[in-house]
Amino acid sequence: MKTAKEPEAHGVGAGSDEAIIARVVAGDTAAFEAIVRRWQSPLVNLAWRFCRDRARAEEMAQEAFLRAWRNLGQFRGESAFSTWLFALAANLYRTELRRIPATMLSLDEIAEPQDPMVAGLAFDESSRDESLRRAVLALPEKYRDAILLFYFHEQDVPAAARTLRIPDGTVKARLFRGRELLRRKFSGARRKTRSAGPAAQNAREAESR
Amino acid sequence: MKPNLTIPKCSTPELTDGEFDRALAADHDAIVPSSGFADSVMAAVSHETSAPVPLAFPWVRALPGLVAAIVALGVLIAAIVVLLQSAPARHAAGLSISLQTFSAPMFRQAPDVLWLAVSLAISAASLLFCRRLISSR
Repeated sequence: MKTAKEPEAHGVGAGSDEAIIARVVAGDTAAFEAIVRRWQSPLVNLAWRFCRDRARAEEMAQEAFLRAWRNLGQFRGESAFSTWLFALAANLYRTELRRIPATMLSLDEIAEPQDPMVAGLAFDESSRDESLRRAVLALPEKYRDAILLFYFHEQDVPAAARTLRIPDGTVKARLFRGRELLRRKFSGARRKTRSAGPAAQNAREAESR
Repeated sequence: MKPNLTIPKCSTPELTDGEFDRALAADHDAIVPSSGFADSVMAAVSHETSAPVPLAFPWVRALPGLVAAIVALGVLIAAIVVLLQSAPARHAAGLSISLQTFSAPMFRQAPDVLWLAVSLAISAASLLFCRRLISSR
């Protein structure tokens, strides 16, 4: 399965996930460290996408690993371990976000320029990208999850669908709708940035001279 | 002197799919876990492993008490229902709750003996239950 970052190969407990899991289930708790080292980056990054707070992302990822460790006996190998792990983690992160939302802002409050002049100057590509990422978190949950998982899995719809445990078609529909909401929002912000206010007008004139 | 004012160059007012993809792409938006993260997780796992297993609730020992409680509750509810059904006819002037009122419709034949037997049975059960609890320690 494609992920935001491929698992790191470490000397500790090198071997397939299934072999390591068998050892852990047999009572070798230390073998679980190989699983943690292999999957820490994807799980922390997935959490990061859900909350955009490094400390909280690591806390949530740690809880996901603990939950995985507790439920390792329930892993039957019917799917890849990564599928099982990501589904478990995504489910936990969504529950956590329902409990304590990542942002208290609504979609209407995201990326709206207060002063069109200032916002126009600052609305460069990187800040626009960051605003877009934060705006994703303000989307309704089902659109947010589809977009986050789709990009986390490097734009792999089936992988996102497996993690969310919903059909591919549902993921596609939610992606489309979520993008539409974001596009509408950001297009409005751009139009305001470009046209609103005499300050912006002066700036455009100054640039054209 | 020209003022140093610039505005961003936006090719189109719409956000394109390409712009979405670039902004949200995994490699543009990744963090590296802190160096002690894996150790922290393993410490939490070890802590959980070493924690004492929580004591299971002693269902077998509690069973007699639970059964007695359920029976007592059932009798109480039945008595209240019977009391409410018979009260209007018997006590038109007001509702007076007494042992006699409770027992009259249910145990018309020998109320005193029956209540006495129930009391003794409950006392005996309580005594046996307490002795069993003490002897098991």
